[in-house]
Amino acid sequence: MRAGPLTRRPIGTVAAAAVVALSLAGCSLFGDSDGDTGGGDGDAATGGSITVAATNFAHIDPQSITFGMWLVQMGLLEGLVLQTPDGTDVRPGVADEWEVSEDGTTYTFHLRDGIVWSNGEPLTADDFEWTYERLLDPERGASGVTTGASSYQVPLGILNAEDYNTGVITDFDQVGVEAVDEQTLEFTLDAPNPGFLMGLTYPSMLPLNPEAVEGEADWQQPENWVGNGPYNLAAWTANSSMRFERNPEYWDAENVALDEINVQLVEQGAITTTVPYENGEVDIQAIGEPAEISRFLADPVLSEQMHVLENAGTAYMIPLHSTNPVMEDPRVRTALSLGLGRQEIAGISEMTEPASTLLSPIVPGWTEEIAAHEQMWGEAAVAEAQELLADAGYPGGEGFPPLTLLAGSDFPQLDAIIDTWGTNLGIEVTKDVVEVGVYVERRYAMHDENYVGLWYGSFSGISTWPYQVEQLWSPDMLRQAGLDAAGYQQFVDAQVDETLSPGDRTAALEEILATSTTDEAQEFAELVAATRETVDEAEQQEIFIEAASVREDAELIIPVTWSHVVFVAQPRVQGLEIRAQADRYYFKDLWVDDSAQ
Amino acid sequence: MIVGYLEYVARRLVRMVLSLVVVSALAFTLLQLAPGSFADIQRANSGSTGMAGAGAQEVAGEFATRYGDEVPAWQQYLVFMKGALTWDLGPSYKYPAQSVESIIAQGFPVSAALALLATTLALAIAIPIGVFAALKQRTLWDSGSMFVLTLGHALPNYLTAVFLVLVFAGAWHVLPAAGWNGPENLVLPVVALAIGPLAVLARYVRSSMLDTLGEEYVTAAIAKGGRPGVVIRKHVLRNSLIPLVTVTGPMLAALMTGTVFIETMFRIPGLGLSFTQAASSRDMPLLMGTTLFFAIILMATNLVVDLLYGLLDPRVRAESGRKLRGPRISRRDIPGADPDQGGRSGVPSLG
Repeated sequence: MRAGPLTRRPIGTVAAAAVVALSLAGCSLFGDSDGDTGGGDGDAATGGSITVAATNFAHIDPQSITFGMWLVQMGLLEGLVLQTPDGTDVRPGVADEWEVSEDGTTYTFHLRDGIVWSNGEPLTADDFEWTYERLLDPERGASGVTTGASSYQVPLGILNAEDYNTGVITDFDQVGVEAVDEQTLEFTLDAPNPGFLMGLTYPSMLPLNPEAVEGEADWQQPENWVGNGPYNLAAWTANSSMRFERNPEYWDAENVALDEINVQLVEQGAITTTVPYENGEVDIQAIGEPAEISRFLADPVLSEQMHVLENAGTAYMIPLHSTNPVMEDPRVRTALSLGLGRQEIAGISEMTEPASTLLSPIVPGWTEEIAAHEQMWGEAAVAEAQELLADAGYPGGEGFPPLTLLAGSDFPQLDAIIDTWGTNLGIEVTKDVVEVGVYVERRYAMHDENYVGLWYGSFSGISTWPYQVEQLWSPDMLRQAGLDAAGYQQFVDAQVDETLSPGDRTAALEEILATSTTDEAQEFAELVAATRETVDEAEQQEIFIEAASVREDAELIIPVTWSHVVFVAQPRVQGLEIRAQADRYYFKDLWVDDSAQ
Repeated sequence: MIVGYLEYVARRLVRMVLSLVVVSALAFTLLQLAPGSFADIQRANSGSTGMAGAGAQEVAGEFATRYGDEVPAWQQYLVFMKGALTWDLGPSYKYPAQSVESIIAQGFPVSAALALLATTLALAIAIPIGVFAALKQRTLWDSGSMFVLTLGHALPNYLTAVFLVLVFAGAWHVLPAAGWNGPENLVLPVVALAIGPLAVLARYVRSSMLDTLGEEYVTAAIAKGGRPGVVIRKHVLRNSLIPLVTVTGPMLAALMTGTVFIETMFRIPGLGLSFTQAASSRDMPLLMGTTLFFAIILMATNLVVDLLYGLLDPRVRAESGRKLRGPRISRRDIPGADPDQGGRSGVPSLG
């Protein structure tokens, strides 16, 4: 038997390859490994570094809706204005001052003297104009950069912006954005908009460097990055980590404390634990798992490190469209809302509360009266729900068709909803948790009479009236939900009708929504439009309150729970305040104090 | 002999190409059948903000100009495959600034390094344990080590990984829980990946050792006065390890292509994540590219294993050479000698 000497080979080969791999591992495999994880060396107010955990993303184009756009906003790019740390107002950013015309439709921004990009080139009003032309470009969907639809926020109400974006007009000069001179940028609005300044703090309004973006090389890579924020992109290992370094060209560089920000990119749905945080590898992290939150709350040390923004998000349900008309009966929808055991559902997590309105209660001026009913849960509510259900022809839930609850991923809340509906109303509900592609199709599909139900989702956003009333659960969303089967079919047909020009299609869709939806939904849309007819803030607020109240009365979107946003931060992290907008905080406001306990 | 070998390799390569065409057509068809498109899913994930949220808007997502939405699916397939021939897979939908081949080029070395290290670790531990267990057959050592290894094999690697993280990072604070900054980040993922294969390999070594120990030539060697240590090292061990090549190859390929749990958990920028993300976001070019790439890796590893096996074991070499020169019909007549079958069990013992 002479095979002997050869037998060493397989193991030898693998071992040799492994050694090669290891030596590779030492250099290029880890890419940029300068990143100092966690440990900072600054003990005073400046210097040092922090490591934060963020949800992973594929790109950082702020005009494309991904988690990347929020991270960009936290420190790589800066808009005309920033939010105050508590997220209730704006403070100067690239613009150090601005004026609003008397009629509230013209905003003139003055850019800071000598403001530059990170490459030293001047940052001008033209750069902003160029950025917004890119944002609104109807053709850009084909370039593969956006998500197929612009991330421009329609309620900003820039003159002709929506028409330009949908192809109704083709001349960008007609859009209400103009660089008057190098340092002056002027916006013209359709109508006064109290939410305009806060709306400018949304990532899609961040300036982009035209030369970098139009250049041949990938502008989102560190070597090609040109920004104007307090930090520059120094390294990006896809699906793993990012590193930001202080931008010496930033206008307020002397007030930026941290030298370096390390970002750990955590995949959504990955097995995530708080171990990296508790192991000192991460300084700031969001936590959402009820069990994790309970454990942190119960720990005397960890509970001190929690930063909570209460009731910042709302979970809700919307009826699916079906040829079965049962959900078109307002008594049925009201019964479903009142029969919901909101307290039991909220009891699942220590960071949720029963929601009486879609509108977050942190919006200044929110009152209980906006809710559709005085008692949104409890015995009286359930009794009323049972009565309504009986009125509608389903006493004790008898004869009620089986309902489906559609969701894109599983939550314990879903089971609680199903359980309380079963107990309180005697109706049978099944959970339909499906893969995201299926979820999207089913959510907008026209179902046959055997598929009746609702879909479950959640929103959060800044706590201003315009945002919470126009942007979240918008007039179009509500009116679409209020279409009956025939109306919805017309709506879907018009959407895909190739023979319609962009302008005609917009008009046709509006016509269907305005005439075929429920009266309350249409009233809501008209009230929202009416807020733009006045510049008087008190008057506006009154209309918003009324609109929000009508939206609840429509009983088309059922509020379920309000949820808190929870962050944990190591004691050394200073200056952290959590805002309602999803970027949550700016890196420029943070510093570290290693002596803090 | 050499001609026969080359002929054999050529035939295998042709078969690989055919398999790749079938794999690509299947993957493409399944992707077409899957509900939802890239555009729909992006919109759904983007929430309600902006125009993107207004539901099924009229803006049909035309993502890559390379393909277009208007052209029929089979034409998209042809465009992709034409590019694939020249290793020009085009841009990914999800990462539009990057070409699919560059995503593969970035991620694969990482996944491959993890796989190689894990396999090496597994072999380094499995062989001594397997040998030891075989020599101590039917003792507590044997059953004990096999029991523990079976447990290790039964646990999925993401559970092992969570356990390792909790102990080494959570409780003892000696290793990082996640990240990709230096060699210390390799320890936990490599160990987590190695445990499953380790158990399989050790049991393989053990049974293979036992088979060889029962061979007549071993008895003969001992009868001739060979010292047990020498006989075991020279005759038993070397011959017992040959079949390991057959298992190690596919195992390595599987690790290289399927470590997505470990990669996401430890935030390792490997290829597994791109692959699964491509499927869930319906990113056609990336999914097709990674699927084909993985198929190539698997098939190439199998081919290499079969060839290597022939080189290592003269018996197989002799048989496959004879067989390949002979008429096709005679292939089936040689029991277990077809390298395609990886024919370990059927290799007739000529010893």
